[in-house]
Amino acid sequence: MSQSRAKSFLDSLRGKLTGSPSSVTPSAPAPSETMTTQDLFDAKTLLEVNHLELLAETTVNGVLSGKHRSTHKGGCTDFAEHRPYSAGDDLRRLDWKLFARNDRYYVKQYDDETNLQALIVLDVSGSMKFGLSTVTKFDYARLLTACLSRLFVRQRDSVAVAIAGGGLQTFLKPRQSPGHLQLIMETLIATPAHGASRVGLILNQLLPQLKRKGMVIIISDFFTSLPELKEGLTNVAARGHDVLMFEILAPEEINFDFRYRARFEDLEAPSRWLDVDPGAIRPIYLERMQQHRDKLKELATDLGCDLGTLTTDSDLGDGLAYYLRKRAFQTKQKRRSG
Amino acid sequence: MTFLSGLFLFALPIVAIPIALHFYHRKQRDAIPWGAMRFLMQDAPRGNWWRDLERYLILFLRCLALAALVFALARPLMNSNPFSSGSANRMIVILLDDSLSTDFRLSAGKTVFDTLRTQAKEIITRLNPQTDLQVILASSGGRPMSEEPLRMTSDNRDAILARIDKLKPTQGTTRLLDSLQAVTTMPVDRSIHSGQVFVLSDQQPESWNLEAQYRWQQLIEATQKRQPPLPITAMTCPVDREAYVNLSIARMTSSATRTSPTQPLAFLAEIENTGQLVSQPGIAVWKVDGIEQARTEFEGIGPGESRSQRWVHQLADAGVHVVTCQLEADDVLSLDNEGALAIEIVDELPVLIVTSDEAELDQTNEAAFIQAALGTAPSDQLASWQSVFRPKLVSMSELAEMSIDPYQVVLLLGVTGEVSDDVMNKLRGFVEVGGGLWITLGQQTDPDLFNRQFVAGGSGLVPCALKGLKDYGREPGQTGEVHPPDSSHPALMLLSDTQRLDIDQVQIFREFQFKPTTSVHDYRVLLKSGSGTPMAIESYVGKGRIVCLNLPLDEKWSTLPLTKSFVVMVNDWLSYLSSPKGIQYNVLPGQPLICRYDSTRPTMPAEKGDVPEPRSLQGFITDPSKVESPLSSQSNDTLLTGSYSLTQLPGTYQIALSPKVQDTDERGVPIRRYSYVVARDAFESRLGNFKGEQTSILADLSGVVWHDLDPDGAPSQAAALISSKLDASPSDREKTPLWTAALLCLLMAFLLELFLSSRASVSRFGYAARV
Repeated sequence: MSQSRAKSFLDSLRGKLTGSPSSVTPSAPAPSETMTTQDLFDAKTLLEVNHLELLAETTVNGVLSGKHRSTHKGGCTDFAEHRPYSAGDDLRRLDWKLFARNDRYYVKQYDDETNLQALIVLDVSGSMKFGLSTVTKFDYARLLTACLSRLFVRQRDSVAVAIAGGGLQTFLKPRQSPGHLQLIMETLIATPAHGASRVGLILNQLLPQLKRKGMVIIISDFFTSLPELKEGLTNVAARGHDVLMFEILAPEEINFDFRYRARFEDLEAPSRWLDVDPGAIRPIYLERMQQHRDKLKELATDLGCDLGTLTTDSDLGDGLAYYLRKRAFQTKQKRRSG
Repeated sequence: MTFLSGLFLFALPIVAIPIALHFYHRKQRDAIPWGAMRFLMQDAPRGNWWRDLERYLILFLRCLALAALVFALARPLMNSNPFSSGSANRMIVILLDDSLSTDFRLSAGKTVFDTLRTQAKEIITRLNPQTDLQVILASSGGRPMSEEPLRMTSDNRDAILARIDKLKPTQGTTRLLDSLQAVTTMPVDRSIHSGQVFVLSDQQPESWNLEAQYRWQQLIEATQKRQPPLPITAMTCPVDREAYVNLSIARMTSSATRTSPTQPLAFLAEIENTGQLVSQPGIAVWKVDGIEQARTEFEGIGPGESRSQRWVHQLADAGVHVVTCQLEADDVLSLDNEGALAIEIVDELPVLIVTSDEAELDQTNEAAFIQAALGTAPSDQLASWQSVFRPKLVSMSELAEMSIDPYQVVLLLGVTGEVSDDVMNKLRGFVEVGGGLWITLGQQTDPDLFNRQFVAGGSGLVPCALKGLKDYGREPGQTGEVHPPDSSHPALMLLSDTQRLDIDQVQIFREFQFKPTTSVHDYRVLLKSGSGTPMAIESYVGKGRIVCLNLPLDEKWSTLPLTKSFVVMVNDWLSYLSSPKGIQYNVLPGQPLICRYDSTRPTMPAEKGDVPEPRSLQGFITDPSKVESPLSSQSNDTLLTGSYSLTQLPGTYQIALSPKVQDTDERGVPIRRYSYVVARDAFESRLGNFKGEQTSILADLSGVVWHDLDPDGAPSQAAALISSKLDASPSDREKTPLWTAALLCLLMAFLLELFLSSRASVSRFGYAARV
């Protein structure tokens, strides 16, 4: 994809994000089919989160270097690069030779030093294809996945990505190299959204892959069976993983402000449709929707998971930054209390 | 319904826009790929029927608002007010002529009034219930049949038709122009937006007064300018006889209207033939209080000629009597065949004869002559005839001490001119309240003193000053004479008859002469000398009358006391002078009827001797149409004074005094009856149709629709005209504008649509989107 095309896509994306959700019209087909690797690197989004540090809530296995402290001592000795010394760094890792040459403290970093292992579970069920006045939830989730992946890779943390549709479609093992990031991007671009959501089931399938304690990030609209999801999350949380849930919703799904009678076609089962007077059904829909979200929130709270909601009409950078700030604050609170 | 801006109606198809949009949206059903289908796939919501109804109601209101907007812009006018179901919207006035001339008997046997009445009923029958009707009987100034206009409900319609059936022609006079002017200024209810005046009358020229063209034009302009307009439709019934006989009593007089029981009265009825044929000989029936007394025959009377019928009768009972003369003749108008006159019979009327303190033989003779003329001289004690006047002789000094109110007339004989101010004030007060004053001059009269006291530079009792004494001498051929007086004056009516009386034979030896005056005081010369100088001057102060004679009533200054005319002159002049203080029982239309009863001094005996004098009285008056109504009166224990001013209708009125209600034992028993006669206009007997010049005037009066009724035709012949007038499409000014209602409808539809849409919107989408 050329630079100009990427720029035009970003412009259209921003325009949709800042557009009024009330003027809902059926949108053009989602741009997922034509998206390229570069499109996923949202420059603005990365700029927003660049200075933030992703803090693990619990100590994970691995050798901690910098802010990511690992329970895992020793490790690989392949030199990677120098970085300026910061308070708390192990003095044994200071490069005294370099200090002797230029009178400044540098710490040696090795490849095995980034030891946070994160797993991003991306829901690619059919319902994620919805998007009328904004980008589709799927595009929004892919963008979020790409941003998080890049963030992890930049911090030398390994990141694994699981594409969850009707079943586990793709699993990319945890790596922290730039090449792995490129693989993640290509996989995201190539993955279509279809089928029913079985996130809970897939979490159970992924359990064998989660050998080390780490962070599990689930990006979905969670239009799935909550008992099944609960089972999966329970198993994940029981293994000591830090679970982060991103609930991606479109504004129309929250407000249901359709004006005229319309034919609603199920994205998860294309043969199923419903002729509905939105005005007539709106109160009931909103009530059911709210009940579902309340149960989801209750589920997350019970399991100690962190649940954040992002709507596709909001700026991804703003939403992600807000959420990471909030998470950092919660982590500090836990440390002080614990 | 009409439209002032009808082109806007071409915009009516925009009413279909909301309907088209409705169906367009129904057809354009979008397909929405939806993820959260699990929240839609459950139970269908209830209450769809109400939402459908609400949706269609909103659609209807939107169409209605657009239609109302187009309707309001087109500015519609409605012929009748749809919002006035409870109020009338049309005013119909029927001016029905019931004057004497409408009693004309047509060749078919029925009268003109019958034809007019039939047409009036035809109009009333055709009125719709939302009409206010006022029927005015046109005679005698216009008499509405109801105080307020009647709404034409079935009950009111039947009632007014029944009352019209009972109507009869009256002896009244019709002034249609005056009546129409009164109708056009009549206030009407604000809900009335159209009107029509129907005039039903005959073609008597005097009633229509068509010569007053300027007034007619003003009337027509007034009817057209007033709101609502009251166009006039005149339906006249012509007389259908080419030639006919109509005898009428044009005037009825008597030698006196107030006299004593002992004095015979001469009644004179002037019979006039207003027709075109010579009448047959007829009979005049004379009645007193409705009881026939005599019959006199009269010869046939030629067209336009008149003949007098004379009847002498003596009324013995005190009281007021109505003497009528009724003609038994076959003519076309029977209502004018009767004449009436009210005569008051009193026992006596006191008069005061005043001589100077130093009364000499002249004055004594003068008083004696007057007493003799009244039949009350001492030498006439056994005379069979006595005048009603009872003289009392007093001197000037006694006059100063006594009250003169009980007297009808005061005679100042041979005044010297030296009269005290008290006496002058007393005399002035006496005359102002209606008393009569007769002044004679004599030997002792000092012209300068007289001028100073009685003339007083024009502000005294006598308007003309004396300039001196003229002495003719007694030689034959040198004496003065009296010019035969004018018969038009009521006091000179008999005296002017030189055939039977000898006033022109009187010789005058000496007389005072009056100076011509430019005084503004109203005065009249009663008698003139042969040379034309005034001999007797009549002047008026207040209600009373004053006569000043320039010579004494004795034989030394003239032969007047020695003539036959003297008795007539004294009685007629006293009667004339005393009449203002008495009650007028023969009045003109509109003149009030006065009733005065003093229980301490009754002027006539009670009808029933055993009825005790009541503590208080009330009066009732019966008009010529036999309608009885209470008399407005003021009374105390002894005096009752009543008056009645609704005397436009000619005929005989009767006032009855009876005890008040609290005297239950005496209620309804009249103790006094007073009869009054209101004279009728003689021109009502002169019949006729519109002729050449009048017809051309009618053609010029374009604001009035004229229609001749056919007396022999069915009433439906005029139905077409009546229908055209009653069903006429009102002008735009009379129509009801509807755009205000349309705008109101638009506003209401808009507000209701706004309310329902908001309600539906809130029901569908809530007050704010939830996040």
